[in-house]
Amino acid sequence: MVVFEYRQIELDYCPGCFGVWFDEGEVELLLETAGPASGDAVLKLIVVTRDATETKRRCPVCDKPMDKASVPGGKVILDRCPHGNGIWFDAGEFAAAFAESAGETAGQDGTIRVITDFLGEALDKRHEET
Amino acid sequence: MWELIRANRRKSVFLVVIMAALLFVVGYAAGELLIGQGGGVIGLFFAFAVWIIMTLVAYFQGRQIFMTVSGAQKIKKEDHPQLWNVVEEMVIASQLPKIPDIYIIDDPAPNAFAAGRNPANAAVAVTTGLLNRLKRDELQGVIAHEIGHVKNRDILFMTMIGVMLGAIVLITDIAVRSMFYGGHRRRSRTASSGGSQFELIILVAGIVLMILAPLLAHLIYLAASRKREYLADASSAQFTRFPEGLALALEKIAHTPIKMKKINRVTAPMYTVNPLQKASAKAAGLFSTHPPIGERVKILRSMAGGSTYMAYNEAFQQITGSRSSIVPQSALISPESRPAGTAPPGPVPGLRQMEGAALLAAAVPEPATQAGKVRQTTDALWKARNYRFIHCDCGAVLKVPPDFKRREFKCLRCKKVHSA
Repeated sequence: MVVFEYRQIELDYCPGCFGVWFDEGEVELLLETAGPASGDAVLKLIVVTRDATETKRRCPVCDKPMDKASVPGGKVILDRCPHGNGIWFDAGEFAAAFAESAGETAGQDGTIRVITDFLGEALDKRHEET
Repeated sequence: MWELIRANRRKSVFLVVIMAALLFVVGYAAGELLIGQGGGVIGLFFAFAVWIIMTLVAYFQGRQIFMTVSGAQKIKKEDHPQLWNVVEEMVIASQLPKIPDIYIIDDPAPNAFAAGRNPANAAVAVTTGLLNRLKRDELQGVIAHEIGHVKNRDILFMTMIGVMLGAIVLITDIAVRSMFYGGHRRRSRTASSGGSQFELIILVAGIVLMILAPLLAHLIYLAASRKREYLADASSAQFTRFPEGLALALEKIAHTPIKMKKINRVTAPMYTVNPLQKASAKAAGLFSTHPPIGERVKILRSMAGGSTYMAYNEAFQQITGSRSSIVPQSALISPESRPAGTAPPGPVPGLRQMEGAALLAAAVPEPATQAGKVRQTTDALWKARNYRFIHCDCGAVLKVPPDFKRREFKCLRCKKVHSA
């Protein structure tokens, strides 16, 4: 895993598959930086989806099987650690797509918007030239 | 402070002698019992070997063992200039002969400890949680407390007893386990006489060590006596000249709900704030290694007469209602009443050097934001682990581990290819 730092927030990513790990500590740091966002709502907004058929991944921190989750109405399925250690996106594009789709559905919520804005900006392909 | 240094050295020698006596008795008894008459000498020989190895390891490798057990990572000056800077200042203020090795422990709970055999061979370890949570003044207070332990020579005794207790616990564990499994085997097959003798050795050793372990555990509590902690607090006030820094830090540490990850009975008394002790504990019991935090904070805050040892001593007597002095007499003598030719207790000639320390402090400012502070801490860990930093044109920073296998890889953001 390579550590990727953007705007003083760190993500871990695999240069082979572009999977991205967003550690809980870094999510908190991001929210703190953005000012008083709506508290602990992150994990509530990202809800577990039971009908996902993907195979379960294990959490890189605690090694427990992770929950399949998404933002209500969002199209991207991600993996969330049941103990709140962090969130795993299967590929960098996934995280960017998550930012887009979640931005539409949960655009009103401060917490999730801070996260999606960050992911969108950090991973957006439009920044290729800059 | 010479009384203290001498007392700590005496205690260390006493510990080594006690260990020898116990081991020799066990060795002799085991030899007589198992080998028969005259076997006690062979037992003694083995006991002697174990004692020598244990003492040498504790003395020369104790610090390293402690750091390894707590997962501490040694850092260089360029890894975390601010932390280095704070330690440097306190070394100047306390007049230590050498800057101790500085370690970082990757743990969100804020805490710190010191280890080593003498001021020239000391080490200070702080957790990432401490670096992330504390302001510069507070960090300085905690570092000064640890430097106080180094200066007062608490570290040799605490390190040695820690290693010896660790060894005893380990041997007991092995003995008890093999006793348990050995018992099963004996029932299933007819034991040869050699086998039963071997089992008996382990049985005897196991029982003796089981009795020994709690005794030693108690010794470690005596070692990390509350007096030592109060005195290290007094040293901190004296070195920083700002008792409020440590007071604030102690409060922050006490009110952090996160528990330390790698902690056990052996290493717990070494920390600034005992990680196993409940923050709510009001009375300092006989078995508590550290005084209650509330009381430590209160004493620091009621130091009316400045930040000297004397002021701390007065505050201590006022708060606890105790008549006994927490600071040795030699440190309480004012420079004027000191007989000619005797060395003053540090801070007086240190005054001029403190100005130098203030200049150093100006060189490394504190990051303005919390994110900046956390990055400073994590970057120190990455650098200590020999990660390579690549600054991508798109504004991202890529940190590559030393054992990275690929020749080249893409930036997550702009997809630019970098060579590793």
